[in-house]
Amino acid sequence: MTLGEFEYLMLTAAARLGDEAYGAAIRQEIEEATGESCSIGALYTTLDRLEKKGLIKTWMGDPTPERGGRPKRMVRVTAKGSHAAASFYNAVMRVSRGVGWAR
Amino acid sequence: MTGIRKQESGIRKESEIRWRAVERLSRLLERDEREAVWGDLIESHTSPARALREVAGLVVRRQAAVWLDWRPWFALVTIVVPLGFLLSVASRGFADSAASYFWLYVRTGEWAYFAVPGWRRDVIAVAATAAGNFLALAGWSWSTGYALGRLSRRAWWIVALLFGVVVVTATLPSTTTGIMGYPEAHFRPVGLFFSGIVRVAFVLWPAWFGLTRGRAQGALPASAIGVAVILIALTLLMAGSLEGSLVYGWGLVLPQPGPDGVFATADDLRPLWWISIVALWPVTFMVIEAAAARAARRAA
Repeated sequence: MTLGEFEYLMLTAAARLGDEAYGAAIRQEIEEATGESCSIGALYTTLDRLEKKGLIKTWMGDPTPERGGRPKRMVRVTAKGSHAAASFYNAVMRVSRGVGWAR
Repeated sequence: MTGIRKQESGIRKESEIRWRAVERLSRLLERDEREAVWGDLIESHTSPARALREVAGLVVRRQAAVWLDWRPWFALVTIVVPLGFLLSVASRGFADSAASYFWLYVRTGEWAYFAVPGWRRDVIAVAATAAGNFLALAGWSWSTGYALGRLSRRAWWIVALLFGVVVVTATLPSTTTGIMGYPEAHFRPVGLFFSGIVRVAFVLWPAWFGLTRGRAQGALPASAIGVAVILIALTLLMAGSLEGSLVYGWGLVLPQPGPDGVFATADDLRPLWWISIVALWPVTFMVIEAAAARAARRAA
């Protein structure tokens, strides 16, 4: 399964967050890691794409007061998603060996 | 102090307007997604300006994705353009025809004439034709709206907007001043006004109801097939009026008297007979869909 860079970032952020993986949290995780802004448009359309590929599973969580009573779109990385992310990571590590910026 | 308060109030007002815009824009998203996005925006204390950008970006992406599907394009090519044009021309033609006959009878008639059987029969025939025309127009429009709602799905608002534009503007480059009684200068504004009312009441309004029904979940009830059969019968009865509304105002196809050489008799040539098929396309779609749903229910 071929992954895009942003898809890999999302899978990794969701995996790191575990049970607390949902839209806003993943977005914050990506923004902190990359130092770049992550738009809601990119986030939600990529979530759909990953779910269609079977790499994640999403569902609507319970509403919470800090979100004005709105529910979260919860995310869980599937086994297929973990495998795809691991393959992407390994490929990046292999191709980066010996280049100046890989320390 | 007053200056600072004014500034604060201005900022609050601007912020309110932006939030309202975000709220309106977010209605174009699916319900679950809208809720999740709103929750994310609230939780991350997003500014109204950024929220507006974010939601607009998501809406644009969603709409672009919808247009990758064939159905909205199919709705555009087979319904919005041909049916929008046809309903626009028909509504104007029916309105002008009814208005000019009404004017004719009001100008030349007297209550006493109703005692004359021939006069009475003429008035009843004209009134029945006008009623049949408007009823058929509403039926075509409802079924058109239904098919649009069914096919365009999340692109419904763009498709509906384009349909409205076609209905309102299609008759702009044409005129119906050739219809009898119409050239009267003092009658013309009434005729134009009436044409607008007919377009809203018998095209846009029923089409909106049809669109709402088409977007709703679930297939039409079996009774829809009955309604469709009535509409098909009505179309066959009113086919002459429909063809006539295209002939007048455009001059594309001249009315042709048949072998008897007399215009408006039964043997007149009908080069536009196929127009009724175009008008019935959304009804046909409706019938096929209702029949397929019924067959699926039986199979289940």
